[in-house]
Amino acid sequence: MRVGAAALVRRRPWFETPGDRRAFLLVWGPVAAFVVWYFFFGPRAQYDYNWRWPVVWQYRGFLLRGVGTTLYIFAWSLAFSLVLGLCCGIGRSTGVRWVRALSTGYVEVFRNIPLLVQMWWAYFGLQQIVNAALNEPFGLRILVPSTVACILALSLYTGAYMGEVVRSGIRSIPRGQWEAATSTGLSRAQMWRHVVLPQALVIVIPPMASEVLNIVKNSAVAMTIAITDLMFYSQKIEEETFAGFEAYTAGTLLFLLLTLLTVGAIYLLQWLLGLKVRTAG
Amino acid sequence: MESFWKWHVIPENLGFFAGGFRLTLTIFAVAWVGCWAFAIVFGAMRHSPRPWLRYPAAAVVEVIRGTPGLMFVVWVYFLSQPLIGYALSPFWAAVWALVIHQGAYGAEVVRAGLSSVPAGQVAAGYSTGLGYLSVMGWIVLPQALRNMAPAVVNRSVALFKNTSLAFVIGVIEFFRAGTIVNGRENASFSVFTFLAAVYFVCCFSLSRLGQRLGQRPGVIEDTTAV
Repeated sequence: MRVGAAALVRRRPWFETPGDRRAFLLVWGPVAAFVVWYFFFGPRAQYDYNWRWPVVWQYRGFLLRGVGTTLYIFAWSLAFSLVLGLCCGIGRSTGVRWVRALSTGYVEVFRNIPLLVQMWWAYFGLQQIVNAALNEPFGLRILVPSTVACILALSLYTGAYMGEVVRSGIRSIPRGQWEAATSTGLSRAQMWRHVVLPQALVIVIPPMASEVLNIVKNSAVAMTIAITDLMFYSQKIEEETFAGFEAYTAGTLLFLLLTLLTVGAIYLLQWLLGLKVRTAG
Repeated sequence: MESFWKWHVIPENLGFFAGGFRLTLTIFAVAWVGCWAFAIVFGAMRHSPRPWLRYPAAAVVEVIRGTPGLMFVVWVYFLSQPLIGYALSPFWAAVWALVIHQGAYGAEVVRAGLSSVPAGQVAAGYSTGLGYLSVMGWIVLPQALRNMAPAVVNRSVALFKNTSLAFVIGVIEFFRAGTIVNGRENASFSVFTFLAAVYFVCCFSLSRLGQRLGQRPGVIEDTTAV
């Protein structure tokens, strides 16, 4: 069969031609058949795994509590990181040299250290500073709560990324807009308030949305400092029942559900704002 | 001051840290190769005009991208036995998890790179009689790779940072080496500051390279916090 160049280039929508449907079955059919065979009759079936899906329903309370904690951490981190990201993005775009240096330093430091290290630093390292600075000299017994450490680390980490997003949004405002604002006699504050930010903040919604999703996903790391989030409770179910596959699958699906709900919320926000901007997952 | 100013533990345990760092580099190197192999295959599939390649690849990539990396590491490690009938060692579980998880993000980079070449050029290539491989090799890739380079470096930085997740399944890489030293010496401030500094130096120099590659118009940026 001879194919024209157009057929090789144009991205055909959903299974337009019978050839597409045939190719789908011919390629993915055998793949699916192999997976099914491998799973039920092949080498894997030698390993006798005791499936206990009811465990997920039995321990639904754990999973729900985990979702609650994850949402709690998400909400606080979202609020703090949005503020941080906005300040830092504006700071990186101003002419004031020390503000720019400070925000650039913040972004570079927090983007280039793994979140895990930041979280452990905020939990264990900070506690030692508090011990040396407050507890020992004054005879106090202040403990850094793990929730505070987790929200602190997550906000600082995400804030640095959001700062970059806001900065590139501000940079995408054409020069003419700045010049027009100056020539109509607006003050610096008025220019930011009425000209630059209203346009930049609309542009940054899609990339910002993917950073918001990253907070949900990155909050799983909090499990390592004993935050009782969804990840923690998935592991706890595994520890109590040894039904690891079921527990972790349920946890993963709930995380997926949370990200999907967040995407939905962002779409809703865009719709409420009357914007027609595509959100990148 | 005595309680937290314990920098002496770093030189005392330098050999142990070095061993951990070597393992981190090994995980990074192996996972880097696999990650980009995965990314190229799935990125090219998602870019394809054929819906029977595009939609399955999109489903796989989006589901993986919606899952936390930490969950993925644990998943691969604990579930390799019920799922494929073969228990992976912690090292290989970490490598596979990073390959699949970061590969899904890499696939988006590859797809964006391929899309950055105008469709008209590809069509022109086909109509002059070139085949798929010639069009890819002579027209698309030379341009796409240049546009992708900074995003590839950024993704590699993310992969390097994410090697620390291997610690949850007991791989004694750099971060876990740090937690072990901390458990022995009770010097969390010094140890974690040291860890942060080393990770910072590695990642910062890598991302500087990415910024240097990205000083032109038309490049793709990938600044996702995962």
